[in-house]
Amino acid sequence: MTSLLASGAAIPGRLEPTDLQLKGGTFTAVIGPNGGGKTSLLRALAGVEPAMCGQVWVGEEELREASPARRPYLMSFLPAARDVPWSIGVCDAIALGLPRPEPERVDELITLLELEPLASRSVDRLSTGERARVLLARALAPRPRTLLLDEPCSNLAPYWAHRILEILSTAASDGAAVCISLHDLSLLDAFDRVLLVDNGAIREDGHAQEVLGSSSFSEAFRIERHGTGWRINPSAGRQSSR
Amino acid sequence: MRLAAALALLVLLAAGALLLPWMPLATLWTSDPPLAALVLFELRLPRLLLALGYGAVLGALFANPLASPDITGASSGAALGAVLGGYYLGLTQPLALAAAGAVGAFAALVLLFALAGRRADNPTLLLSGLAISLAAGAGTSLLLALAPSPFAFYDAFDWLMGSLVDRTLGQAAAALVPAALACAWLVRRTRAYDALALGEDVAASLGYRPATLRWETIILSAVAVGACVSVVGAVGFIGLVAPVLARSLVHGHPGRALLPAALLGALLLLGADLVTRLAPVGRSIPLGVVTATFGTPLFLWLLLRMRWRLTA
Repeated sequence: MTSLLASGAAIPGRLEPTDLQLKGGTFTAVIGPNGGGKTSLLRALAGVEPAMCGQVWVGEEELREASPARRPYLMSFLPAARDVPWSIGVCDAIALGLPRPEPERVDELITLLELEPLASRSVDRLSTGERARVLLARALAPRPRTLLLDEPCSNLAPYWAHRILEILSTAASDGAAVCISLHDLSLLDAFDRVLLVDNGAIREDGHAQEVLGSSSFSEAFRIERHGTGWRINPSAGRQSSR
Repeated sequence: MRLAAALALLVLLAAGALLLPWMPLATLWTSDPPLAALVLFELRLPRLLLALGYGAVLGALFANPLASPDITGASSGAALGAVLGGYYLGLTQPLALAAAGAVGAFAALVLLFALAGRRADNPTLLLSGLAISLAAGAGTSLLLALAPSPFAFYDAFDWLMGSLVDRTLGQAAAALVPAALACAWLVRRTRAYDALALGEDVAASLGYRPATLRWETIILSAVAVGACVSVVGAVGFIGLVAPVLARSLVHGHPGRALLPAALLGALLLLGADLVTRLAPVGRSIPLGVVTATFGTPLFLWLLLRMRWRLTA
């Protein structure tokens, strides 16, 4: 199984130099407060940030050196924004993820994400949640070795938040390195590994319960465990960046 | 099927553009065949080629996600560049004027992106393009008013409204060769434009370089629009109408819209030129008036649809 390896990946002013390995077959969550650097980390790992420094390798291949014909198979990135600037059909939008036409794969994804009733519509005429499923299908289309998804479960009905985690978990079981950012802490038990990102750096890296019980977590999120839920951490200081 | 119908219509219109009005040509053909050949090949053929080429260029250029609708100011910038080159820098060669037009279009596009910002949305781009278009139009009028030649306004009137009349094959080549090369280069980028349909981040993640692509598009659009405008003048609405119609034919797929948009652009401009020649009003109607006549209602419909979508 192929791993993603980042060496000194950084975005000046937003993400400190980061060394990270995401192993194939693992399902990783990135959590952190608003503005903490989750999106910057994913953008740097995905090589889509123009100001990025450092290198990212998928297996033996440097990501940013890979050609458009090769890159979709190495990594798929899903931005948090669900806006589609162009009026494009659902099937065509999914097919954009594939370097070569594969109508059977598009049909497979339409079935997987239950998009059949929407298949003939334009993406810009769908609701945010429906659009999220189409854009996820585009990211899954080439069966990439690495999936980096920024908040794929946001703005979704509970069924779809859980169903998408299930689909991504299956992709990880099939050998992909899957890494997603999310805000819903109740979903973390589905992950093999959790990264806590705050102030532009990875502050904790471990299993969900280890990270959730850490002092870094309490400081970053300014909440703490209380019974089966959470409460505001009275000792956490206000930070100007949040 | 629709493509075949459009092609058949194009061939029909092209034949019409060469042979209509038929009577003078038929009379000349019997009385003075060399003169008839001259009319056919020196007057009507360049006109036909320019209509086909310029229409196709406008359609194809405006069909890609980077240039639509944000190259609104390019034609006006090109006109300003060509007037400056022709009346103030003494340029007379078609290629030199085409280069002046390209420089003007390039300056307008650079200004547009500087004003609207890299991640500008369509309304911002439209408004910025409109402002640049108006400013360039006013600049062109000022330059013509202050031009050393007292007949500058009169000379430029037909050209400013867009005209295919009395262009030579040399002028047609000066406009169409750079435009065709620029368009061929852009057509090679079809996959990249497709990727941009889902935004710059997705395009970058698929291995394309949106910033490079944007500059490539700006420069090549400037070359194509500048070269055509310097010969034919600024013809409005074709670049708006053809891509919109083409997109609706291919369900919004940007890459697949390029060639139909080129075909529709050619059809529309050729049709508009035939109207200018055949309308029974005593003299030729300026080309820009005809394109505006059918383009304005469509533009208004698009605005209403955009407004409806924003409020829906």
